[in-house]
Amino acid sequence: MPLDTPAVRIADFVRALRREGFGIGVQETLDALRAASLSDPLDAEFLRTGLRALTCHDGAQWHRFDALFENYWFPARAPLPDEPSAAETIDPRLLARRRQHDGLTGLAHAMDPDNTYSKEIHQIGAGASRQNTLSRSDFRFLTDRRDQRGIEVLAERLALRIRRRLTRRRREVARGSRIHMRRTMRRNLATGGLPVYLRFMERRREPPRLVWLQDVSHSMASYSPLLTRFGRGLLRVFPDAEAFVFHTRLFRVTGLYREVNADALRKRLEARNELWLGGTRIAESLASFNQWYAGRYVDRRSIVVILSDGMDSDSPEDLIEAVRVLRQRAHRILWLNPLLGRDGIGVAEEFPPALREMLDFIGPAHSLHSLARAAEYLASA
Amino acid sequence: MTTGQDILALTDRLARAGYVADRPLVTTLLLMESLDRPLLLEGDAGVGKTALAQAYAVAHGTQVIRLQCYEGLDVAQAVYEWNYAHQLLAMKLQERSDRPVEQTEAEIFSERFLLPRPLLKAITQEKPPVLLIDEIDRADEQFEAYLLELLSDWQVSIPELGTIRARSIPHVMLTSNATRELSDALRRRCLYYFLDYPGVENELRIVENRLPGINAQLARQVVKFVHGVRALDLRKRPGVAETLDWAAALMALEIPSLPENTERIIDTLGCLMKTQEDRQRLDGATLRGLLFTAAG
Repeated sequence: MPLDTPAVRIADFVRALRREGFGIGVQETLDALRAASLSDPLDAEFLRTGLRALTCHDGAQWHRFDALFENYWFPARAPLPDEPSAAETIDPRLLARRRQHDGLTGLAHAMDPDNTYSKEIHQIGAGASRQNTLSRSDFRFLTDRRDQRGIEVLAERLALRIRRRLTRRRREVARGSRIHMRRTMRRNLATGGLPVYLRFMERRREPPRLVWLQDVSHSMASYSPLLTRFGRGLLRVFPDAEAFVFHTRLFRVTGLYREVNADALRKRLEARNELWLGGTRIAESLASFNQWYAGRYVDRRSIVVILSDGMDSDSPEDLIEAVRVLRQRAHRILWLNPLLGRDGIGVAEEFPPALREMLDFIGPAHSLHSLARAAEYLASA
Repeated sequence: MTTGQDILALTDRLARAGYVADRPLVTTLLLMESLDRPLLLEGDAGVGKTALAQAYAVAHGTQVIRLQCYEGLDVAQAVYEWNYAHQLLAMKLQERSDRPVEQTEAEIFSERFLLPRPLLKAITQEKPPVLLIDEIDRADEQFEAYLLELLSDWQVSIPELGTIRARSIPHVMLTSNATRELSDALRRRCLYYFLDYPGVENELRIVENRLPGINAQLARQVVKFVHGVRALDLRKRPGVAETLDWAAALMALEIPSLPENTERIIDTLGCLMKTQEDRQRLDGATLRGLLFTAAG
């Protein structure tokens, strides 16, 4: 059998990366071939570095690249195959089908089980109707790890999409406080530069400051991964955002949520075992937020988002009092409650009237669809 | 053809400019030159993204033109602006002359009254400079789209003046701290390099390169200590710049070795840890553990 030329192999490797979710165009393929021709064809390290610089477009791809490269070019050194997902364990035909598909790319064993990109491709490839169903399904019923991780990624993307609505550019207006020099000069050429007709500009609306208060008690455990990813996305969008989590105590986690790598964030959160166990003291946590942080992080530009199922060991009066204090400082308060997505549970059952009237938005937070509504509200608030 | 000699030569020139680079990074820089593509550098703050651009410029005997991005950055601050005050003055001076309006207009919108900002400055140099577009993630999407156009056409259109084409193509480096997602189009236009914290040996070389007078034992202990600190769950992990600051502070205090000077080390930790929260995380037991590891 004749051996493929290096160019054919490189083009095939690029195709394989594309199937792994790398966005590589024709120009990158041509440049990859050019890069390969710039060095000794046997210099694998040069090829690795060059292809990595050309085909990776973010940190996540960068960190996956080495394994994919090794698996394609040095299959003998490949690690063990990935573990099957829950659905694949039940129906081995699914696993066989996926392995067969991956095998075509030559990357059968390189699939990282936590690989977010291939999850997305996997879901999108499965058809729009499936994605639609997933986006509406209650997160606690998604037992398939692949689906869960896919939804988490989509939640983060959803949050990032708000950014487009929040740009801050100056725009020209008929009346304002700041003169738009360029337009004024153009307008007054006829008067010899004497500024008779003034043009003004103003800044677009300042983006709100976001404060994220997430309940991570045991009763919220099945929703925490989804909400964490959504919160992480929001933190990357809102410049002055702050994140806190609480159960019986309150913790500031802004630094953790700004973690670039989602898997590293998950590991670091899980490493803080105390965050994930025990009951909930919502009122006390909010009161301690008011006492220690509200002065610094909440002002008339702030939107406070509380994510909790409302299962509180403190008295409802304490909770109402804590929200009342917060209300005085904040511009808007949103309460997202995953239980509202369940049949028979409505706002009336979950929120006493005195609490309800202090909240600007009350909504469910059990699925991607419900988060999309909240995101829509945030973008326009 | 890029050979091992080219890689070694550039590594050496960068080292002389004060930047210790490993082979993959140098290879990527050479590819940037061969393929004429911008280089997008990502990584935590303080890993040396900006320093790389500066050292690269020194290694090539050229200048760095830096554009610091921020929210709301627009063409007037990034590309060019008219010098309105001078234009007004010129118009006033010509008020009494009989020159036609068209001539006055042509004159006040000439290059004489143009204030070039970093992007225009970068493409009008005779010798290709290093154009450093710092923290591109802080600029907004509209600016990113504009930049993309500039990076492919290498020309700037000024409505009053016409199109200015590049005299030379600059070496473009973009840095990002990933505070927001950049567009796929911009990412695809660039070569990508993720700059991670250096390993112990590489960071030791950096310290010795930047602080030539440092005692070898102290340098190794400082680097090992900082690596230990980075492994802690901190809000802001110390970068290479912090390592250098701290090592310089210890040298100034004439501390020869870490373990025997715990009290004075605590006094200088402000160089490494920039938030109160992080300082509190480094309690007595953790500090002793780190010092023990650093001394080993």
